[in-house]
Amino acid sequence: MGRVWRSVNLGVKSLLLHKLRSSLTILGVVFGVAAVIMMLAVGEGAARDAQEQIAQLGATNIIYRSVKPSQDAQSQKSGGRPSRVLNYGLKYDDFDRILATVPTITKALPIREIKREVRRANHAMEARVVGTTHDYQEFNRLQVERGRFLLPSDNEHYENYCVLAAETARTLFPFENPLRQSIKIGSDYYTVVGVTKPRGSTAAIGGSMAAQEYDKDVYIPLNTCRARFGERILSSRAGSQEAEETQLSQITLQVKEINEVPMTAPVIEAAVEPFHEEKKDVDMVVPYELLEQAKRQAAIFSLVLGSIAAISLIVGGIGIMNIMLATVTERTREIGIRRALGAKRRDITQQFLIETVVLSGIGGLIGVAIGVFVPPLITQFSEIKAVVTPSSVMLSFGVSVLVGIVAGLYPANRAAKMDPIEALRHE
Amino acid sequence: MTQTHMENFPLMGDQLDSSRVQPIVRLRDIRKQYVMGKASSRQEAIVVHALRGVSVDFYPGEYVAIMGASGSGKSTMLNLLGCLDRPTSGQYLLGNQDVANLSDDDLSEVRSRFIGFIFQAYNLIQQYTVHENIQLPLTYQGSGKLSEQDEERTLELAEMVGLGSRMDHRPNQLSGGQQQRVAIARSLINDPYIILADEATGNLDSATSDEIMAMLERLNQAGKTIIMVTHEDDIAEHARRVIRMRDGQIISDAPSDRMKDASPEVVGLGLGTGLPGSQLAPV
Repeated sequence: MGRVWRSVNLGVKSLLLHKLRSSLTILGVVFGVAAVIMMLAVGEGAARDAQEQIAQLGATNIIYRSVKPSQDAQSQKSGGRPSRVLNYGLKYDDFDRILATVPTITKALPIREIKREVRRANHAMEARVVGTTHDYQEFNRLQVERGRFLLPSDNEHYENYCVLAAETARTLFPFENPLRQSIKIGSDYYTVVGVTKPRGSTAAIGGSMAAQEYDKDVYIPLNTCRARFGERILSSRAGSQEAEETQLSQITLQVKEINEVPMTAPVIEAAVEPFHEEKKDVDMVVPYELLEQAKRQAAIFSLVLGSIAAISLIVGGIGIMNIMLATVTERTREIGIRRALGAKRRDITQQFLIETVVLSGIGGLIGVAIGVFVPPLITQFSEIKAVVTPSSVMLSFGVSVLVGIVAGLYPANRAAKMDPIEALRHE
Repeated sequence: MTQTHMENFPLMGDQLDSSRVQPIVRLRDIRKQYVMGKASSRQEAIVVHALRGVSVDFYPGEYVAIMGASGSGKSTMLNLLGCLDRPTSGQYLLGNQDVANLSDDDLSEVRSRFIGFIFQAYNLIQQYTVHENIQLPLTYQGSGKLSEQDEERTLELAEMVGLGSRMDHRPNQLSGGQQQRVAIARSLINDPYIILADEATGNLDSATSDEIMAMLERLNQAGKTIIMVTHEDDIAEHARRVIRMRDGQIISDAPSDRMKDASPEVVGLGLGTGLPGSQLAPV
């Protein structure tokens, strides 16, 4: 230990002989290491963003959504003429069938979504009316601000109760307590029993799932919804009338353990798809699969970014090699002296290797400091999220030292191979 | 050149019974050839015979000057004596060990333990202090660990050459004479069998030269074996024995002029007292 320390100490002395040269060489490594850490941090930040959004959907969930069939699919069905009433989407039968056939499901949530105008006195707004059950709260991690969420009994008794989302409540009841007051949806009145806390919207994922806003919702019991609105929705648009018939907008299913997801999903698919093969009017979303996909994409992203940054580290290594080759030539006489005084070839190799490793090691440490210090600033002053992971720090520092060793081997070997007599004669 | 040096050197032969004092260096029919230019198929390689069969013995406590014009083989001779190079053929016994055919690593080990070098250009390591320069040969011995004794000895030697107060100076802060004194201290740190001085005063003015030569003389009186290469007659006069070389051969081997007039007691001074390994007292 003492000897290595002494060698490092003497190596530093040799490097200090050319301060500018040594610092410029170190700078190359500093940029390389800092670039690798920062690039990986940006990659990691992007990955975490995506994964957080997917995780919000619930990794143990499997989601089935009704999808309005494309014009093509509609035409095929009716022989060239769109039918007057468009019947598509998930049915209550699907819901019952899934529950009856798939044993691993612990919870199931039927959802019916309708866009409707909601009124209260002279306040009105376009809201998403969601007919659902009490499980909705847990599935979507809603928190209740006032009153309560829907109860199982509300559904059983077809109650005209509703729960307002934060923004809905603010719009319809500015400066008022909405509890126990009435709002009008369509032609019916509903009593407000609760208000939820604001919840950020989920981002769209891939294209398999649209972005969801929760703050303009009105929640009513599913049975009430079914009884009041029925399955048929009429909408007038530019003179033509369109009718759609949908029973359920979405079914969200939950399994107990995350590792049950991969085997449950195909079973559910087998229970649902045969009944929707022609119209292609349903779509399954498995957040867990999306999560895995996002992780794979993030890994590729990080790899690409890291590789680009690694190039600068390699350039830094070439810089070290270049300077060490110059140093070896310049110090030929010193090598001769050392050899004459008893240094073996491996002593010379070791000496120059230690010098290069000290160079790259110092560069690596400074690079790590910059790489750890800068990403939080990036996150703070820009939209880009950057997360420094310990593994990226260790990786880049390790690579920098490795680069030092590789870059130092050739010059050190060249130094060691010199003939002592020739070297002593060198001016 | 097949006869031994004994016939060339009757005085020493008379003084020394070789059965009593073993030579510390014994060269037998040493030859060294260099191949100049690459031996390609087109071009005939030129073979240079730097040494053409040299046989000579050096005894403990001797002070020898090797003289000769450039190209006479004296530098090659010094390189071989210093184990920096291997002879093409012949035998070289240093102490009792044949070092003519040692591996590169073993030769390095021999240099670090048994040989002290003093160069014309001082050859100190510029970025090291006086202290570190003196210790350098020790760092290449065995484990390279420095004991407390090593530190004491470093200080002792630095004081001996008059630089005890300049341990932390760097070579560029010292005069030529001071640098050469550091080099002398460095050559003594490993308590070597022989000290090889290569034109040790070549870069110094006459006053400083005298100072350095006086120091070498004191070392010799203290029992150190010194072999120096020089082309200056007045420097060679400091030695007790002068070997002249030409064309890779020894053409004369005799006591220096100074010794010719001296009594046998003076000639014998130092002989037998400077056996290898003896501790050197500060001069």
